Amino acid sequence: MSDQHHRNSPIVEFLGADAGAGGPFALLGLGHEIVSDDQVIKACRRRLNQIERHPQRSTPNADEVRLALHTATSQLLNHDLREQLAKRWPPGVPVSLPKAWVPKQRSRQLKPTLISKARKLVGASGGWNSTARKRLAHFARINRVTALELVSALNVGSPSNSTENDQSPVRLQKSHIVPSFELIENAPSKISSWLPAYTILFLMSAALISTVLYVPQIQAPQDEIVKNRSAISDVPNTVSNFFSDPTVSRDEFGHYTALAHELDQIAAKAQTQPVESVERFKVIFPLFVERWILFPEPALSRSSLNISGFTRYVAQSDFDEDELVAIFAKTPMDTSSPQQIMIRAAILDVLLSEYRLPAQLRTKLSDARSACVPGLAHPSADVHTALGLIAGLQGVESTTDNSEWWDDWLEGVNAFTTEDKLIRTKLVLSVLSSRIRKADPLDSEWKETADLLASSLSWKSGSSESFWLVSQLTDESVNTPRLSALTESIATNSQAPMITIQMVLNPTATMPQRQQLANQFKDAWDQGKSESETPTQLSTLITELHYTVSLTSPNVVSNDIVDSYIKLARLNTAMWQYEQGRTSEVAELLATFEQRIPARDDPAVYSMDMHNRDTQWAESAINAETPAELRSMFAQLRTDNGGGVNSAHALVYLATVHANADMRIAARSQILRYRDRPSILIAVDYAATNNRVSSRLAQLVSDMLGIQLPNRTDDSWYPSAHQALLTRLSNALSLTMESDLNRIEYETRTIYLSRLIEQSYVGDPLPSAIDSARNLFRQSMREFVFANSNELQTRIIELEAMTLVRVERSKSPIQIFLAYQRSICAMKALHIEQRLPGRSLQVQDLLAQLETRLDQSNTVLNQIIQVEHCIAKLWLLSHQGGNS
Amino acid sequence: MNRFLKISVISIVFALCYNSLAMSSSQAQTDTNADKSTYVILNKLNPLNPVSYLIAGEALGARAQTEQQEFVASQALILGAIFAYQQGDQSLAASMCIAIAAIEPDAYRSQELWDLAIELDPQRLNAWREFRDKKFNEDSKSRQLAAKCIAAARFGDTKLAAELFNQSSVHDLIIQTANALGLNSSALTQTLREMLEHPDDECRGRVFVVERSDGEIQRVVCQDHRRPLGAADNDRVLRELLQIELELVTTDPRHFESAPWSLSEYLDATLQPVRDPSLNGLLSVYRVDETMPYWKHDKWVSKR
Repeated sequence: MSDQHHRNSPIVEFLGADAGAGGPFALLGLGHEIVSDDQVIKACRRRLNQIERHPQRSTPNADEVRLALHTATSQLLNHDLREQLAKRWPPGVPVSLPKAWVPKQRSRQLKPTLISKARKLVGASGGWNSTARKRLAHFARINRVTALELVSALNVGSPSNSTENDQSPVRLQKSHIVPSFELIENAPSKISSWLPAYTILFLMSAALISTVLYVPQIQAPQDEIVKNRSAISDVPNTVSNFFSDPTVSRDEFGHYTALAHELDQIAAKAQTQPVESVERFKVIFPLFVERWILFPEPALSRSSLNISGFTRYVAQSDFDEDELVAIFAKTPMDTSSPQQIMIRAAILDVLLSEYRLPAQLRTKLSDARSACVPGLAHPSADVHTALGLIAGLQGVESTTDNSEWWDDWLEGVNAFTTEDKLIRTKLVLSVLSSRIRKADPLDSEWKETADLLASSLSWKSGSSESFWLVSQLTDESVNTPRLSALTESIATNSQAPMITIQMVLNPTATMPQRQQLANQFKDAWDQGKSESETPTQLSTLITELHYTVSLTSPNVVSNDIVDSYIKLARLNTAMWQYEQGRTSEVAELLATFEQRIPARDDPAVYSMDMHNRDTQWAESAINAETPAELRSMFAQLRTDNGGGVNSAHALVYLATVHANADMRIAARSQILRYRDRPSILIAVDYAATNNRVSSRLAQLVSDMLGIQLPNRTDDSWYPSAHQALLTRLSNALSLTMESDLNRIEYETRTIYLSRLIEQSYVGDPLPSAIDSARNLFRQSMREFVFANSNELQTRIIELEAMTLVRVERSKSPIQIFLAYQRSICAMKALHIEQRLPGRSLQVQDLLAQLETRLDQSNTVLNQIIQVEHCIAKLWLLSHQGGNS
Repeated sequence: MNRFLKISVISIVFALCYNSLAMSSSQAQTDTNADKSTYVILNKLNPLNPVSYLIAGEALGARAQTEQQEFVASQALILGAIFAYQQGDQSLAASMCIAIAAIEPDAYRSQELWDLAIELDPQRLNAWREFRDKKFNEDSKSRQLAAKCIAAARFGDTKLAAELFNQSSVHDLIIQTANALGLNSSALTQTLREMLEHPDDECRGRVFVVERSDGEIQRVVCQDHRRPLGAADNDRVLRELLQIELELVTTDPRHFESAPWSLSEYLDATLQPVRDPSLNGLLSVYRVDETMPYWKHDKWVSKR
């Protein structure tokens, strides 16, 4: 592990193995003999240039190495500290020399022709200047001699010291080689051209160092935990002990890099020096638990892996397991601090994911983990994943409204979610969901906490929190006073300007008032979104679906049932059409989905009571002597909308029994005219039940019903006729109800028909809602006809079977529709699972939620809404993260 | 002599009485022994082995001679189905449901058990198609008579209605149907009895009569009927009677597909939600408790 660790160390990666030898000298590539501060600064600059040339110069690791360089620079600039450091750390290999300038051990032979050419190069460059130096360096490289040798040869071969015809090779003495920086820096002729550049660089680095050194600190006087994350602010005070005696006091580690470095070292030495490593770990680990929030996410990950590696190596030695476990379990810590509990439990989860731990140690660590945070451990090699789970559990299971506790918790959450704000949002929202459902009274403590948590989210238009708030307003399980305090916090603290103080929920608000406020929020956010950007059609559709889903509670109040269902169904249809590329229809639906459907027709009025007018008409009609006399009485029938039951009995009697054919025809015409009236249906049914089935009666029944019946002499004639007449009678009587169902059914016909790919019904009477739902279900099944997975085929067969059962069990048309609708939803879920396998668990969760909502529903109409609600959530899931 | 005769007669009577008492108690003892031996098959039930419940339940159901024995067999099978389901063997649980359906006298409950079997094991669809409505269809004659009874009551033919209503098969079927539809069967029965309480009413189910003297046809306005024949006493009663009658005469639910949705609300004003059949729901119907899985001393107990 330690070798690998060193190999993977960012310092080694960016600066080379020599820089990773340890200590500031190696880091800067300086020997112990430093003649001036300039030397240190220049060495730092050279190292920085090395990083700049590296392909990963923009990564966080590069930033960390830069930070380390500045730290080392500031240390070496302190003369006293430098002496102490020189005793402890090895010298570094100077890296100031470009490779071409590094002196070689052996001398080489320089031919006079080469020297002559070099001289001509200098002349062609206009003398000894930067151009000449560059050209000489290149010339030396291509001729495989060192530049120093060549320059020395040029000096040796000067007119005062040599002859031009001297052909003997020149041998250089090593002692003649001077450090390159002197050669470069002290070039007398053109130093003035380099000076401004170096001056500017020096001033910039001095400004940077002084800025970093003297950043003001904001710290409570008694607070031992360093909250300021600046690079070198505490270095002059603490770093003097950084590399010294291991028994350094806790206050000395002012910066996370110090702790991270310590953990690096502990992990590196754990295999060879377990006892010393454990002793050191006992000091460092509590500090880590206190200050982990200062660690950037990459550093935190690395540190957790170091701790895991350390534990594994120590466990492999014969070290006492109890003593090791005690470090994680029993080291004193602030048990009231949720962030400390968070990291401790997360580290234990990381340890438990290490499969190479001995079984006994694993058990003890597991016990320690359970003692830390109740419940099962969730071993995870990634400390951030572990932190997320633990923070979530802490948040949801907490029973306190104490704002200091939540402040501490939130600080911990912020620390590990700097890269992924979505997780932070989810955690805070899950906490808020839990807190606003408590039955605790509303008090100032909750108000402070609500302020704290609300201000950690933006509440902007289209954000997850905006959808969440709308759903909470319509959820009956939410405590109204506590929700009221939250809305007040949002109105006060949110970054969304469209949310005003008028949108604070009254603590005594009723559900309709909460629903109204939810719509107000939605409208405000809609307005905010349209002002800020031009959304695409899909994003608009998704947003509207989000809000509409949020506004649909598990038991929709009866006033809103029709509107809720129609809106959801229309938006779902728009999604289906979007998938089919029918964008113009989508646009139309988006513009009209909130339109209310036409008001219901007035219910039919059929009187079943006995009244004289009806009885008198019946007696007059039945005693009429001529067809003309009978026909003259039909006007009253029209006035009475077909007449009463007695009148109907009279008509049926005349049509089937009267001797005069004209009388029979006249009566029959009225029966067929009013064939759908309950009175006529009752009378015909009575005649069929109590009389012999004559041909006239059989023909009359057949013509009334418009269906083919068995032969009248057949025993099955009566049951068939009776069933059909009863059905018609029930249908007719149902029209006397003040019911919204028929207009819902009519609207559903259009909605479900629009979801079909092949719509062959344009211009024809629309098929019923049940027909369209059945066709849509079959269409969904056809998408899997070529599926070659046995498991998939089995699931489809199961779904088909359940659909048949549900249809068979149905006792009314709406129940048949619900049966097909549920199957459509299940097929949609199957489709998403196949297309997006990673969403399978979420799909199953949604289906489980649907089952719960169906069980909680108090009417079949509410069940239909919940199925549309689930379909909408499946659409949202399939488009999550921009996937289509 | 007379005294001797008297003593002899008294002795003979006494002996006869004693013998008849002895015989009846012996018969009772035999019945009890037979009962005990019937239930002995339940002694080997083991919740960890749900198959034991299937074997015992089917065997008991096959040899049951009383309704009580059939009911106990059903109870054993329900418990077995629960345990099989809990242990992940849905196919076995489905088999138990089918076994109960075979024993169950109520045709509607038999259908529900078949539906539950498919929910647990959808691979049995063919068997479901064949057997689900078998018991229902076996009752077709009773169903026709029950429907005729309701129609007769509605059309004022009280004599016919009363005759039919007094047949136990018709009476039971009407109650079963009312329960299956979620109606109050007691209230409905009471209403029917009130409708049939006038066997001597004037119309006796007739709408018109011909006046003998002048041949004029008159409408019979009968004081016993507040509304025209066929319309029942009020809208609520009419609706309930139509609901039951429709359920008794309907053989294919697909006839609802062309009906207006308002029919749903007409037949059920509360629009009761749809519930899929479930094993837990059947626990209360069969009055068993999974925490009492053993049969001992003629009852279900928690410990063997």
